[in-house]
Amino acid sequence: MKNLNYIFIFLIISCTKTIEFNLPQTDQTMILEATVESGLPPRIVITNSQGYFDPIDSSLLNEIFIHDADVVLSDGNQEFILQEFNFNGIYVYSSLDFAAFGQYGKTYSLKVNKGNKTLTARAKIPQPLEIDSLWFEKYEAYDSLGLIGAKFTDPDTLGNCYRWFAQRINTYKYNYPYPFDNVKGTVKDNRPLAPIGSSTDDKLFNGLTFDFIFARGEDGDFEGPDDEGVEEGFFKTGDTILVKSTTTTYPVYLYVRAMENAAVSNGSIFASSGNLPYNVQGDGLGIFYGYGVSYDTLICE
Amino acid sequence: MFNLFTFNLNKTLYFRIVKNYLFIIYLLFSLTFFSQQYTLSGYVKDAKTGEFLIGATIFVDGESKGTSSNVYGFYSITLKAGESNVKYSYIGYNGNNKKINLTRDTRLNIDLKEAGDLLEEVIIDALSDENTTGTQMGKIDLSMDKIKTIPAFMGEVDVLKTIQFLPGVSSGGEGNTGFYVRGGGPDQNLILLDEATVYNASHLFGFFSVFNADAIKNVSLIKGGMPSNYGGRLSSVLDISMKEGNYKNFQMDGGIGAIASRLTLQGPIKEDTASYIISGRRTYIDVLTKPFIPDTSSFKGSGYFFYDLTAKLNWRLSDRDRLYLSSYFGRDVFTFNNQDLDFKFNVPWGNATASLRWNHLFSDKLFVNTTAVFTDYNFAFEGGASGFNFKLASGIRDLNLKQDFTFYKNSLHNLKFGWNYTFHRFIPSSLSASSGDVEFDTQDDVKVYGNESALYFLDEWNVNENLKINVGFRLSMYQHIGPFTRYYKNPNSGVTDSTRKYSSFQNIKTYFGPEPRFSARYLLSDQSSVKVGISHNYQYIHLASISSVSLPTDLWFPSTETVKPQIGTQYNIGYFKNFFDNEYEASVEIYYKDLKNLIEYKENSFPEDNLNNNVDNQLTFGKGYSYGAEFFIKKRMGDFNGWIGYTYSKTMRKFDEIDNGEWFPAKYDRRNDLSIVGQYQINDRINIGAVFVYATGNSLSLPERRWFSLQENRIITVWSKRNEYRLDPYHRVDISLTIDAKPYKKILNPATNEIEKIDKKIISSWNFSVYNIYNRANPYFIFFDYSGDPLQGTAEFGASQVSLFPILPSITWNFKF
Repeated sequence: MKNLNYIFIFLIISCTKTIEFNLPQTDQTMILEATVESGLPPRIVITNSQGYFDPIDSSLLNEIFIHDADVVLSDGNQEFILQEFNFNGIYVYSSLDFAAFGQYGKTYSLKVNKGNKTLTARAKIPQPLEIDSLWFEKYEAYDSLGLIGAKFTDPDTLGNCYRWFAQRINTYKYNYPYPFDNVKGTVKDNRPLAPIGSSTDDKLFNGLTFDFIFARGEDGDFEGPDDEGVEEGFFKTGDTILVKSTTTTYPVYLYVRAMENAAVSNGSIFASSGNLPYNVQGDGLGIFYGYGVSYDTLICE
Repeated sequence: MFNLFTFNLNKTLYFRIVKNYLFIIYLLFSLTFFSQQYTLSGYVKDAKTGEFLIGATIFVDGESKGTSSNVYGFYSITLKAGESNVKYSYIGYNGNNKKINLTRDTRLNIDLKEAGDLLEEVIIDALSDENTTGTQMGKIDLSMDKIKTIPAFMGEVDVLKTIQFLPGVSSGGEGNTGFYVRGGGPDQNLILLDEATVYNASHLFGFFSVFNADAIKNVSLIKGGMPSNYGGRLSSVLDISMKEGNYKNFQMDGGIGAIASRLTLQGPIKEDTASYIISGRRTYIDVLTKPFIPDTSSFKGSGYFFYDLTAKLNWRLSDRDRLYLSSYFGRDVFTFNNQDLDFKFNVPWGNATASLRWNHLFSDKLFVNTTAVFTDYNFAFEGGASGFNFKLASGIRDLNLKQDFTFYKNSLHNLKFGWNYTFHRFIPSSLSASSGDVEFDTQDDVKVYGNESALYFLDEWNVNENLKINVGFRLSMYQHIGPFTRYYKNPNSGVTDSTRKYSSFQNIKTYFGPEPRFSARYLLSDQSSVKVGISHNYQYIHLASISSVSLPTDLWFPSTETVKPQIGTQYNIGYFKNFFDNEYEASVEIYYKDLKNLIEYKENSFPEDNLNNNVDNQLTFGKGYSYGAEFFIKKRMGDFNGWIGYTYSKTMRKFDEIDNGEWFPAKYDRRNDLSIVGQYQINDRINIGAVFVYATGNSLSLPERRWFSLQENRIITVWSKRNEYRLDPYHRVDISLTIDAKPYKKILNPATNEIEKIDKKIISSWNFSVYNIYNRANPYFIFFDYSGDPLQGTAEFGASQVSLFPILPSITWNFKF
């Protein structure tokens, strides 16, 4: 469908104008966004939704978080009562108990109570899988730019789902036009980033060993210095890349696929319609990710 | 409560009905007549070209009896022995009155001459009063001559666009394949080209129809209760007849337009016995833009074009036998090439049809048409980048055989009966993909096979001078047969838990559809009538659209053991009145339509989910209804003619898996729809036309809420209930000016020293059109976005409307010799 969007953009002589809709006031919805991944503490963020066209001001971060919720994580054997931490204005429920850190093969249950609202969700951390090999696949047309090539072997059991992240851990060697005129010397990516199309299941390549390529992702909706123009989507000679390859579950794959498709379609009529396939039940919406993680490093030469 | 209509008949009952049906046919043949009556029959033809005229009126003075020629130009009427004054007439042609002394069954072929400019009163006399006297409700025949002078988008005359100016027929909007009739979906229209089903009737995502106007003779749309000789669809029949070709002389027609050119060749193979017509059309956007794309451009090699070819051969084997071979082949091809990224894809799609028809007259009363049809529709998306290559394809192929009998029993009864069998092969989705040397495991294509068949019978019965009824019954059957693989999926893991394989021709599921049809007309006066109609239809194939507009990517999918046939019941009542010797016709029709077993994709379905899976595993099932009132007034003749059509309607849908089973407006729910079409013949050579259309905006879902995903750093949208809001209304005005060149030239005759008019060999005309003359920015779709940085508290959210076509002028030169 994404390709069809490009077809239409190419074909039509279109004109665009801004319009306004008068939407009725909507109630706030409790949103749960939780992650368990192997070797790391659980991260649970609970927020409120806003009206779509509501203006945003600097008080956004103070307003969206739901504080003092009762959050209980269970790994099937043990329950952990999660505490609320403040990381520079970002409120996260977590636990520093090592026993609560994500472990392969475990299925976690989460229960959130706030006032008279309850949310529940389940997520599994599958066994991680390592990539066979990585390389920098240069594009002839663009001198120093290229994508990551990878060889991968999928186990001969159907139903494996994957998600790909990559983080450039080297620094910018020069500045970019405003507002990126002082990025020189700063780390290129603050965290592993997933490109559009980052998640897949194995129905097309079950049990196969094959090569694939991945473009560079952006930090969600936020564009970095090199996310516009010729460098967009490319890695560069000299980059040191931390590749985070994860295994995940079918519901997470479905959610990520729909979420990324929505991100590029913005309500286009060519996209499939409807809300995302959330895996949270109860008085709200949300997603509970479970990742089995393996890391690798690549230097682009 | 027991409901006959939805009851699937068991086989015993089915065979009992078949037995009774055969008995009825036997009775019809064995009936004898007690009074001395003879049959007058024959063909009505155009005197100049020899082409048969469809729907010509045959009327007997003083007896209030009449009939009309069928789609093959054949008529048959039974009259008392003795002298009769029979009038043959056809709109736009001079009438022909014949005094006939019937002393035996008589064959009389009639040639009608196209009317000259000075014969207006004859033309008016020839006007049909079918609007008030026919039993068929909601049937509209469109003359190609009229269609050609209506303003057309980019000058390309388009029958599909023209029918959307009629009440009860709405467009999905610019850039939307298909049309919508009385709240039905685009798959509920049976589109026939010389009896062959056309599955996708649009080029360029709906901007143009696949029908080349130069090759078409007649367009007939049935939007009310369809008679029982038609079936397989719930909402309408668009029956398009191709020209046969000139039986007398070689003729060449063509046109050079802004984006496409056309050429039609036709002529006799053997005069008055055999003829041919071949017609082609191609766009040249790609050719015109090619020189302007530099070799260094990243997009060198990208482009789009469509073409179509129609051809027909006709052979009058004898006075009783005629043979027709018609074919259509059309393709759209879109190519995208990005040399920098080494990325290229190709998207071809299109229809191919072929139909072989044999008309045979068993007697002057019994006409039979035997038809064999091949239909094929394919869509493909193939491309690749950096060693990764893929091809995604879908398609449908039909082999169809049928016989249609018309028995002109007597002046009271006109009987039609026949059978129809279609073998369907569907490929809902096929994928091949590779990365380097590694072929991905896309497994075998999941093809779906089906047998669709029907028996039908109908009687057009003149009960008395005022009351005429059309009663019919169609018994349809659909079998989903093997080979087939059923995938049973685990909803939690997406993994195939198990499969079940069916062998070739193994019966997997059988559906029977009893389809009663009834319509009646009661004449209130010479020029006014009331009509009622009820029809009950089954539809065994479905169109599943994954996006919110109809696109060539939409999948045709048949009934299976999980997808039940769609069932529609329509009730109509209407008042029809003609004025001023039938020069004006007007009608008011009210309808209610009930629809069951409708399909939609489940939310968040993606095309790749069809692989190693059954498409129907991703479908959800529901129901719907539509009701409306249609108002129509038409001035049929005179220098100024045209029509006004207005429809008020409401169309709703309900699916258990969408919005918790709440009713929601269908995406093509149009509460108000107005079309005004006018043409004025300024003089012999200049014609102007104008069209105004207004429609309530399409329904749509809007983002009501948002939340910020800190995990993904994205704004996530929460959408409203399905189709809870409306786009702005759609409206525009188009105008056209057609100037015919003088058909003669003046030369000085040196012998007589007088100026003489000599007919030109080439007759040409210019058509100037302006689409959307007041440059209305009609909404095509809306997208939502924000600017700024939410984390810095500077983001603003907004909606933007994309419109397709601003004011667009075009010029077309048409020629004929």
